[in-house]
Amino acid sequence: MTKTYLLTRPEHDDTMHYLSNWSKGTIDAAKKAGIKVLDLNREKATKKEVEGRLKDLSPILVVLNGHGDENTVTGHQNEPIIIYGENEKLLKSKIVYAISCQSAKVLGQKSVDAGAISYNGYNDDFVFFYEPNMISKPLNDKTAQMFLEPSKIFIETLIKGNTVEEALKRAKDKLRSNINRLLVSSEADANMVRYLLWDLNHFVSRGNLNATI
Amino acid sequence: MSEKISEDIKKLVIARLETLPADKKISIGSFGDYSKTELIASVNKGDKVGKKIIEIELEFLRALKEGIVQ
Amino acid sequence: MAVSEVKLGLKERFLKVYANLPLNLRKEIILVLDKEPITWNVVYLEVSNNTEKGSQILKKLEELKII
Repeated sequence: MTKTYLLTRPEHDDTMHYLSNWSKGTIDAAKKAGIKVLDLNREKATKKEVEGRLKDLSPILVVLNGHGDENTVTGHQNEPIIIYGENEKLLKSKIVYAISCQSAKVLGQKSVDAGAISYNGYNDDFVFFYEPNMISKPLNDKTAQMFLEPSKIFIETLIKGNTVEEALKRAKDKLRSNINRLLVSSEADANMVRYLLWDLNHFVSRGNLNATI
Repeated sequence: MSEKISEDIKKLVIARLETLPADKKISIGSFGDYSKTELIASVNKGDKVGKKIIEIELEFLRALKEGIVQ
Repeated sequence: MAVSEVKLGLKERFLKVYANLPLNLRKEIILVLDKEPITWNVVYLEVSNNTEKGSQILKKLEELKII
């Protein structure tokens, strides 16, 4: 049976524009691996669309880009799409990665309690630096790359059939290597170390670490 | 005592923020995107973003006790 | 505990942290004292020379839980 990968990519502000572009590359990786992709981009990243796909198409891997809080992940124009106490049970039997602030704090564990295989995300705000003059070419933004490439690595490691634990390790190793590189580079760049370290420390996993898609 | 420490922390964080590159912006969770100047203003005001930046700075400084080189 | 013993403790703690700091981070501001920004390197200078300023700085760093 063909595996399916659901990805939300709102783009309504600078942050979402960057997250959307940096996770877009995982679509090709999934297709190469023979995985069907449900790409909910821009105004398609709505609660109705997400719920419909989760119910009807049973994706095994779900990646949610969006703003959030400890109980919620949002989509296009910050519409709440997964809300604790309302629809987290739709994540049952799925491996989830939410690039969304704080959702791993409450929603993450509650999703696992409701049957999600694994919920990965951040138990506090996710932060990243970027260069405003690169906004039209976010993938060429070397500053943003340090913060956003590890997320891409996490997803692609899962797509290749590795465990959640291995994906977490590779993503965190990349963050650490970016930190170490900054520590020996210019002073101005070394200033960003504290924010990379913040993301590293707050990137957490709930549920089954041995799970694979 | 805690108010004095709080003022000390604010001054420290602002001094450290002053050394951030001026040509970059930072996206902070659901709060939005900020320049260095805006971050400093937020810390001065003591608003939610300011408090978050202070938290990030202190977490880093206190983590240095444990060693950052691995 | 005698005052000198407390100070020695703080100095040791500072030196331990400082020794493990990457070189680039040693140029970062660690304190603002009397409106003067002070880096790790400057603190090291004061502390290793056992100055009064150094003692003052160490107490502040302890209050801020940085050492």
